[in-house]
Amino acid sequence: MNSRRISPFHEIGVYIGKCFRIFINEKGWMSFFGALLIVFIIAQVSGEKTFAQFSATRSGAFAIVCGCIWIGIFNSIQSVCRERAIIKREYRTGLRIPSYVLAHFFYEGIICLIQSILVTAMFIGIRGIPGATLLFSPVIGLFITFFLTIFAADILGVLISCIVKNETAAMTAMPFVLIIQIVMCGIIFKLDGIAAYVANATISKWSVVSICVIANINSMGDALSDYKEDYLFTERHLLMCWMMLAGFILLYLALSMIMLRMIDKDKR
Amino acid sequence: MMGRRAVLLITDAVGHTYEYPLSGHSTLGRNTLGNNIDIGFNGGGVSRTHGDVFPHGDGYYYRDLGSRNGSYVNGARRLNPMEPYGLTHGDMITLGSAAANGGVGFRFITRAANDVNRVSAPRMQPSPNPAPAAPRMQPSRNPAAASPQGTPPPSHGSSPASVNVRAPKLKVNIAERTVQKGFKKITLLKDIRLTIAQGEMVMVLGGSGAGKTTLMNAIMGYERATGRIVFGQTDIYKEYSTMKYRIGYVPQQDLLRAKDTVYDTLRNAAKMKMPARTSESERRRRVLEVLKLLGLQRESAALVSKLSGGQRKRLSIAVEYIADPSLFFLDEPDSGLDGAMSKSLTQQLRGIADQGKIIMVITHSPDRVSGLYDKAVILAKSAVDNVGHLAYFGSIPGAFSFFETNSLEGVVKRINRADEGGDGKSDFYIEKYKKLQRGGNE
Ligand SMILES: Nc1ncnc2c1ncn2[C@@H]1O[C@H](COP(=O)(O)OP(=O)(O)OP(=O)(O)O)[C@@H](O)[C@H]1O
Ligand SMILES: [Mg+2]
Repeated sequence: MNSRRISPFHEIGVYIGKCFRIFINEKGWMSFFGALLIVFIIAQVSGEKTFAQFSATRSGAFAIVCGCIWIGIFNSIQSVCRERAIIKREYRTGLRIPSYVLAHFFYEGIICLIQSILVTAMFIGIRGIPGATLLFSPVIGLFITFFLTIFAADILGVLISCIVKNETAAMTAMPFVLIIQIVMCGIIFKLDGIAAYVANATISKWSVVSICVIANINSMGDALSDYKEDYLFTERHLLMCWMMLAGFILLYLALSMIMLRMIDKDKR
Repeated sequence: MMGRRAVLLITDAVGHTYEYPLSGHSTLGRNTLGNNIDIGFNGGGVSRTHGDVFPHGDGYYYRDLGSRNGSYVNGARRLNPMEPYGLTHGDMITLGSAAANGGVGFRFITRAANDVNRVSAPRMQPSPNPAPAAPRMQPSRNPAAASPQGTPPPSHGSSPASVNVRAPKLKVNIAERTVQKGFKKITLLKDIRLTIAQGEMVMVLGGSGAGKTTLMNAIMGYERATGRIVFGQTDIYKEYSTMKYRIGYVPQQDLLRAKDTVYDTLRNAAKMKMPARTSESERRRRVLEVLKLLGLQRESAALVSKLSGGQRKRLSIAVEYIADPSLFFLDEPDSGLDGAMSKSLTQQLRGIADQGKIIMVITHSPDRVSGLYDKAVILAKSAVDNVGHLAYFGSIPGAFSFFETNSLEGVVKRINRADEGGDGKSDFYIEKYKKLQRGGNE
């Protein structure tokens, strides 16, 4: 019987279409201006010395990463939970949860792609082009980092949105997630022991590191030897950062599908 | 009925007789398009759903379901509507008086289980067609349906047009529906048994909070109860994955995406719910047809958030109807509609039911259009255990006599609590209905 129905492939198409129609009808592109504004402010505040001095580059990278995570989570944190009752209904009449989550995944991916182009252009436009070629030119390198950061945060937002039952709960959960990303990335505090391990599970740590690597922070005059190991200017190191971010994206995606299945247990 | 088999010898208006083996519950009524009762008659004096025969204890009972012309036992006594009459061997029941309709009805026969073919009772009329004509039965989805427990199908000459055996019925048997609240188990519904035939449109009535929505959710497997819900041969709970495509449900709250347009909402619903092989043009045709049917053509390009309450309700109905469900459940579809619109909506639903669907509607304004419904389910919350019970299930005229009132609003008033402006007699009618179901001739 199932086979006579719409294929998962077409199902994803239907829901991507829905996402984009709602994006247009809700004037979702307004969020692009928000993203530009955030990056403009961060780029101004982070100052001239970003990409020139070790500590300024680290804090500049940290600031822009926080901005990216904010942009990403904010994109999606309400997207699923606000139509939870509708999804339950659709699930009970045959919608496949993986198709639904994947549709959001692709839709959010395109939104994040546009946002990361804007973020890269704005940031480089103000702060200039850092470092030297590693795998790709620094511009492409930064763009990839920004994209993976925003996208990972965005899918984390989808995951939260799949878990909570309504928008209020989502907006309550959001600050906690942001605080963890900010505190645990190892820039504000030097992390030791368990905290250092926990830091490996944050998006922020790996994006800050990859920006610092691309900026070739170890070559800067005031580089601290304590940190040299963290920011090795090698292709392998940069790739590892990116792989971690991509891994988070896939992990959050899988978890979203699992968590949203629980919708079946929702009570009135 | 131990060791004995019961059959009905059916006599049609044109004088044909045939044998109908009994097993379980069977309804009798007029043969009209889409009226899929078990035993159909071509007589003009027979109501749409005239009566039914059901087993209870050791025997079978016949009950007149509030028919217009009544049912008579052995040519004399007219049966009270809704009161089961215990059938004994040889009893002759006519649908309408024998004088008026020429003896349309049946004779009740029991015989030893191993005796398959011998008719042990005199025929009511000699069959003009003694050679066994092939009975025109609906092709059965499941052979067991046509011959339950190995009983052979009607073996005598059958009247070609009048046999209408075993259309899929919806059989609801809910022991209870409970929810867990902390450490406490709360019972919401208890002992609900109904059988709804194909083509029937049934209204669900009851005070606010009686459990109407809960019942509907339980029947369609959305929020399950303890019990069994069977449609034809299919257990809805066990085979939910296939059944869900045949069930349409319009919930009390509209579940629509506010920032999508009417047309796109419907087009996506068509894509999701219609079989995959449906062509794009067929799908578009269906969308336009449903838009027209529910009067939403002019709103086609509007955003859902811009629709009025009634328009939104109609869109909710359209979204479900587009898949052409066999079982259609609507929770207060007429809320927010004015009288004329609610009437035309009910007429549309009647038309859908007549295509051989089962429709169940919860409504708070039943009287405007009660003539379009076949039956009513009356749910009442008992004051004793605070649980929703069945206070009545049957025809609408039957409900009037059962509740001794002349409107459905009056019925609801009977069972509502005094602080809800009612008579507070829910427990009285719950008991009365229980007694009625247990049988007893009086
Ligand atoms: N999950 C639940 N947990 C606890 N109580 C519930 C639950 N679902 C329903 N109820 C209770 O069951 C009763 C019946 O609810 P239901 O929604 O079925 O009423 P209804 O007959 O549809 O009323 P209305 O006409 O107002 O829509 C109500 O008292 C409601 O509070
Ligand atoms: Mg309700």
